[in-house]
Amino acid sequence: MSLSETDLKVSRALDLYSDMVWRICFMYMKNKYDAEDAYQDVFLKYVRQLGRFKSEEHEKAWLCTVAFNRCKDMLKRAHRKNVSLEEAQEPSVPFRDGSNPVLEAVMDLPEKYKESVYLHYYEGYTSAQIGKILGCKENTVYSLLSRGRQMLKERLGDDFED
Amino acid sequence: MTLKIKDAMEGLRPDPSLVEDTRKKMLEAARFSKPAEKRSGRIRKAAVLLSAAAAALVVFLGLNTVYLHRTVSTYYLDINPSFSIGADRQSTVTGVSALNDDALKLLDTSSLKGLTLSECVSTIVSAAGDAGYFSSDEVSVVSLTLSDGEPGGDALAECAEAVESGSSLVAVYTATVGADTVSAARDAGVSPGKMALADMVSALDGDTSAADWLDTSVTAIFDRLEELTETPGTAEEESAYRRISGVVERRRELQPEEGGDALPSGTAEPAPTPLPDAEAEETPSQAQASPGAVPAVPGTAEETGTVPNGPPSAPVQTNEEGAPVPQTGPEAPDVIPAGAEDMPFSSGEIPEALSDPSRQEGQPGGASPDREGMPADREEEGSAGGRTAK
Repeated sequence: MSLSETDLKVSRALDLYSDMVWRICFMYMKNKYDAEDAYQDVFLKYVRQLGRFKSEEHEKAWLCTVAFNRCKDMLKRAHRKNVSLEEAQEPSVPFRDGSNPVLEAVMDLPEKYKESVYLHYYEGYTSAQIGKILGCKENTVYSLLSRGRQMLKERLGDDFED
Repeated sequence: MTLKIKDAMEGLRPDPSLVEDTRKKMLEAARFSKPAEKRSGRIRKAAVLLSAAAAALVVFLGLNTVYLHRTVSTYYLDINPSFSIGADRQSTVTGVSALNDDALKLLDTSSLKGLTLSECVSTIVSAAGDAGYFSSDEVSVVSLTLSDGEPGGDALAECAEAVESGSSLVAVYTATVGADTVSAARDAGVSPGKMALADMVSALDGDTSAADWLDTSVTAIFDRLEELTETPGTAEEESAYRRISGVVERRRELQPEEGGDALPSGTAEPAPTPLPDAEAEETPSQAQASPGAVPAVPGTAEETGTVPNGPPSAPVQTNEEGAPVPQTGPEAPDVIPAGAEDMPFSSGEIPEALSDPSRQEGQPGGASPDREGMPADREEEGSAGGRTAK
């Protein structure tokens, strides 16, 4: 692959998936700096896979999975270092000031609910597709979505589902 | 809900500087990392090599398994039922064939495959005992032979020991048989082991031929051989005696003297009872080689006692429950077990009439190849000394 081809592929990937990867990383890490680290790590891994994706859907699902896994790994390391996420967070984190309660509520969901809710409600994946990305059964995804919705409703009130 | 979540997340975007920085790092990484196509080609090649190696390993293991489990030794077990037993290098039985009608009727040989040689032979001997092939009046003999040149001599000896330790009614004669005997036996449709014994008898007994003995039991053949070699006068008789002496000795050890009853069938070797100091030095191997090396006490045949390892000169005594009474002798302090007060000789006295005059003092007299007085030179076929084939 020539440099120009690589340049094109890299640029294309960033155009298509940059926002998605950032949202996943930020939802998990809840602070800008860790989210940036995770974001770059995901795309550097992507570079090593250039040319091996069967389709755009495959490519997108792969990026989602890698982003989730990278964030979980970083969180585990943070826990081992006994650094609380609250300490690691910047005082002024966007959307933590109460201006975006829905985002805050989604970000505060437990991992597995957060993943399902994001992939379904924002990225538009079906339960079957989410099951393949997360490596679980379709029925499990239904349960996660149902429970996640319930938790959001409890936090945001009955008019959330309107 | 969908719209609300979408709206909530719409504002989450990376800094343009972050995106630009990431793009540069990606290009730099792409420059130094190997292209995916070439790497995939290498991976494909590695996968092919691994598959080939795995296939070669499977073939090798398969061939190795075949090699390890093929029959390398054929043993011949003769009682009066006669069997041939195939075994692999680990002395695991690969197959058992009945060589005469008695053997066909005795047991289902298919169940013997996969057993160790000792287990297989013990099973057949046990079945023969149950079928009444062993007399309670004398110690029977079974013959276990191996073709000359085949591996398995050690297994032969171990098997004999295992069978004898499991039964006090049986002595095992072991030997190797030459190719000529195997060939002659096949022509005659008999076991080579039986053929070899029949040849031995007919060589010493001018009035009979080998064919006359092929249908008789090994015990009967040995009875005749003992008669013919009782006082060896010729080189042939001496040679024959050397071959069978181990078995003869064991039969004498176990045989009741003075018309006493033999031990009941099925008696197993007991665990050694605690012995006084003088006998305590007896090694386990000696103890095994001289199980119950004492004549039975009249009247004990009906009891289901077992024979303890006692001093050679002491009679076997059992209490009412059939448990062995520790033996005492002139060198040992009296030991009177609980409940044995009413038993005869419980004080340790040994009636002279029941002592074994042929027993060497302090010598258990096990049928060991190193029996004192036995010539070391054994060159002839079957020169196992009745115990182990070297």
